[in-house]
Amino acid sequence: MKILGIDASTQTAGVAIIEDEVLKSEIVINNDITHSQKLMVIIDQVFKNLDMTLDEIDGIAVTIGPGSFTGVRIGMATALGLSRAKDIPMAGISTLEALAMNNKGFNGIICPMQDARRDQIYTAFFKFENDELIRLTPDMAISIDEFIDRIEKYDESILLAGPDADKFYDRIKAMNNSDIQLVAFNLGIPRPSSVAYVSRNREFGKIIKPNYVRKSQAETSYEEIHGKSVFDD
Amino acid sequence: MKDIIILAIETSCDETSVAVIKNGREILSNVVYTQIDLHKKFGGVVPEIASRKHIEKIDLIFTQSLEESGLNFSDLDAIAVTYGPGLVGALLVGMSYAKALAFGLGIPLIPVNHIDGHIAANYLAFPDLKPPYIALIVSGGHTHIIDVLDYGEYEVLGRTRDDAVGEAFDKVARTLGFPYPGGPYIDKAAKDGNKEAIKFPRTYLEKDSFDFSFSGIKSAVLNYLNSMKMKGIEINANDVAASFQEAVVDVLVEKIIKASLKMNHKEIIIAGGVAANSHLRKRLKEEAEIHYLDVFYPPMSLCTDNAAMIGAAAYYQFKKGIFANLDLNSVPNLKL
Ligand SMILES: [Zn+2]
Repeated sequence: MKILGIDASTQTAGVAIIEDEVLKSEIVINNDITHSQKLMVIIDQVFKNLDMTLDEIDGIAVTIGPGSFTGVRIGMATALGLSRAKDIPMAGISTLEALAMNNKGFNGIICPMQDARRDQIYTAFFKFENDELIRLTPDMAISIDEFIDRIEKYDESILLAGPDADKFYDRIKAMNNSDIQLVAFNLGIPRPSSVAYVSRNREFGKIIKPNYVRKSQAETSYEEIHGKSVFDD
Repeated sequence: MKDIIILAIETSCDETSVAVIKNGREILSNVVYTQIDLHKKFGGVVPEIASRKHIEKIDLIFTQSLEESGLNFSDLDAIAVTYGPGLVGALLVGMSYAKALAFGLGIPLIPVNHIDGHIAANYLAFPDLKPPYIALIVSGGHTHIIDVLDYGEYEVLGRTRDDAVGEAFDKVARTLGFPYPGGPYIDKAAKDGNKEAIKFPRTYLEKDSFDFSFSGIKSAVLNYLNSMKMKGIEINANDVAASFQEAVVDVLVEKIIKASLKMNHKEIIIAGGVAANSHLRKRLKEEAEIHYLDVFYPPMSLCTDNAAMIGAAAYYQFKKGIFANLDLNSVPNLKL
């Protein structure tokens, strides 16, 4: 089973192809490039690296957030177009779950975090049990204070993972006396190989839905003013 | 000659649209999903919500459009997509989808300027229309007078220096309490109003200039409404709409006629959302007749944003071999 993994949901953009449990090729770009320009180019490159075509792919796994709203949509629209062209089924993968998967082998609670601005982070808690990634909470947007409250309930080691873990590491470490560790420099960013790997035991299909976690600002203000969702009639 | 079939995608603002076009002139399908009712609740287009709707709908609209065309993937010669101007987040959805489709199907990707699409809408409605001619592009984002020299070849003779004409319509409509988008409401209200009731200024700028300015008339309307309010006089919205519309149409008509006489073209086309304005259509037709000029405007359904017009413009690029690479980016402020 060959799976194409795609991620454009944070500041990095990446593409990988895995075959069963073997990583065949992976490209990750981490600079200020616009994903819209580079994503399709590196997809093409990964296929060229392997002398392969899209026809050989059995499934497409793509990150659906949380992360950059625009980035999530670039990744998803790309996956949708590829899927439609060759009738390849898709699986939408939580960016946080893919980030947790990067740290297979860690013995404790894995907390991927992304700066969600407005004094919040996107996070969720995971742990490995018998080599399987277990989700302990849903994806959420919470404040750092709330995050600290929550991790205090665990006796185990805590791994701060994800692209923005280093930003909050000192503050969290100072306020919490349990064992807090920081993710390795190259495992904090979403890896498209992990995205593909997480999808192994997912159901693939024709529909993927974004996982923004947060409503748009306009939607929230509308609800505050009108007391109902803008999507209600 | 073999038919050229282009599948076109348009997501530059608040319409998600996919069309299949034969030889740049024939619509095989043109599916438009408009989000307008949603944005109405905010009094204008909310970019993040527009983008969210595009990603939710794009695949569905694509499938529906291909199905309606009665064709298969193997019939398609190219994928065309709007790459600007427009809302960046909205453009990116259509573009990322289009790129992946073109890559997956192994066919060329054609990057289309949205304004070029508005002009090309006329080729769908008028099979014999050919350049050269003069075009007036009037929409919420644009007010251009263009000398169309050939397919896809333009010289911009004039453009707005501040607000686009559609923007002025929307802003005035809002102050009169009409829903968004205000253009059609002004048009409707004006029919029951007296266009001589209030004398709003006409801004012609320098003699011989084909540029426009609509900020003056917009402020004049606001000032008028304020001063009436201060005096406690109730305004007649129909009269305000009619007088405002008359002033704007006066300037548009005078400049476009002048431009076509200067360039010695016999034909004028109007395009863009404001081309749907019934008063503009009527006045321009009357004025053109006096000068023995012909006026073309697309049917309503092709005036507002749609992918059919993108497919029509793309055909002429296909013939010239103007294709995009996989690193194509969206350009929100793309010029013609
Ligand atoms: Zn338009």
